[in-house]
Amino acid sequence: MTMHDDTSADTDRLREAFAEEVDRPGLGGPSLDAVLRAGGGRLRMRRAAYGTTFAVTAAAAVAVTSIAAHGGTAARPAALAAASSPTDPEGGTPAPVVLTAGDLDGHAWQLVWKFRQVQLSSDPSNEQSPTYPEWCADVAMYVDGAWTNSDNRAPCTVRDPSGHHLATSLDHPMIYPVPILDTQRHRYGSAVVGEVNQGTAKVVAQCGDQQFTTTPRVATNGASYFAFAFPENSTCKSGSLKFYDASGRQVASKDDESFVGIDTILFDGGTPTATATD
Amino acid sequence: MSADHNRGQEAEFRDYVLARRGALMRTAYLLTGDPGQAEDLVQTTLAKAYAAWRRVRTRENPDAYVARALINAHISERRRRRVREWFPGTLPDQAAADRTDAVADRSVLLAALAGLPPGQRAVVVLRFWEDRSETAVADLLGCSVGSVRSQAWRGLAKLRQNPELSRLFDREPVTERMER
Repeated sequence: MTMHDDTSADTDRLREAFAEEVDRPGLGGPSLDAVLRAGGGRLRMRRAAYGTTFAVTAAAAVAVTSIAAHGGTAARPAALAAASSPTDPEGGTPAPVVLTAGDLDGHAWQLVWKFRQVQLSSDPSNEQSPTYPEWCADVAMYVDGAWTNSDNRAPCTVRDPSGHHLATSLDHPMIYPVPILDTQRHRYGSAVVGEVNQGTAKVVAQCGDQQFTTTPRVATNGASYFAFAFPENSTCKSGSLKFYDASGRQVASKDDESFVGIDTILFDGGTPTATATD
Repeated sequence: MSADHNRGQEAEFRDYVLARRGALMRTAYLLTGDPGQAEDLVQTTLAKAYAAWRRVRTRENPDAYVARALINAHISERRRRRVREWFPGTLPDQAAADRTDAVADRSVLLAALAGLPPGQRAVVVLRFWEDRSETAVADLLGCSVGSVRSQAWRGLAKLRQNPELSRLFDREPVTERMER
């Protein structure tokens, strides 16, 4: 038998072994619905990236709300501010929506959905194709009244033409870790903010042996949000998130999620003083 | 672009997903060794294909685009995981226990595949599972045919050397040998 014959026989055996390996349950793949949802989200974000911002209105109306600190350094969420309902793009910029707020080391921070208008391409693969205006919402972090993550935003989520919320599915919550830093780039911590379906009644974050629970709140734009905040010296840098409906049934989970704002690579440890919002 | 036209493209994409989802899952499973990760990988890949479907569908071979997206997504995910693993102290205790169970459940073959470097594993899976030519694999991975040949050979050699897989590569019928 030649070496070529040996190799050929081995690859045949390997192929058979692979076939045995994949002949098992649980390999049906993602549902068509999940694929279309994920693909649609990707398409909307890409269209937004192709668009040109031509009307950005400052969220000057957003007032920073200081909340009593828990354990000295941690943050609790504010009740969602009663921002006015988003308006039609033809009629003006939708009002910003305050998601949560807190206080870290004496610095007030606030997470806000901040709307801007973008020009979407009807065909992202063709730069010459016609465009049309649509609203896009950024997760904006305000620290001491200043918008500090404008150069490093979470993905812009495009809203429907009325500015209202596009429903997030129950089993696919969206998570955005956002750094809490001031205009001099000094970090105070991170906020893990999530957008969930209104059917989500409870979110539990697990970080080592620490567990935090929060209840999502429905904002005035009809979307439901939650947030956990971790001070910079927290050892909670990553962990899992579990999502439950009102009956206590787990409807989604996320493992190995980073709890650190995306512009930070270096972790400097510290004492386990993390306290999430509740 | 008419609404009918868009609906037609979406229907076409749905058909594509239903036809190819299973095959993509099997390849993703051999690449990742974990059904959950494989499903995430396939979903990410097909979502990318959906977003680019207008262009992908006009290609001579949409499968090549999707296969490349799958490999790229896999390699990106591997890099992300490696970064996370640099900070093992920050991982929840529970996750470590889950991982142990997952490893214990893995087959000998998947465990051996996991011992190959990511690129080599991709070459082995694409060549010997998907039965793609060396040229096609080189095109997918953006490397030379010579590199594919050497990686395939080295990968196969490593699998052969694995004592746990010795029974697979001796000269008896495979079906008897793989019984566990």
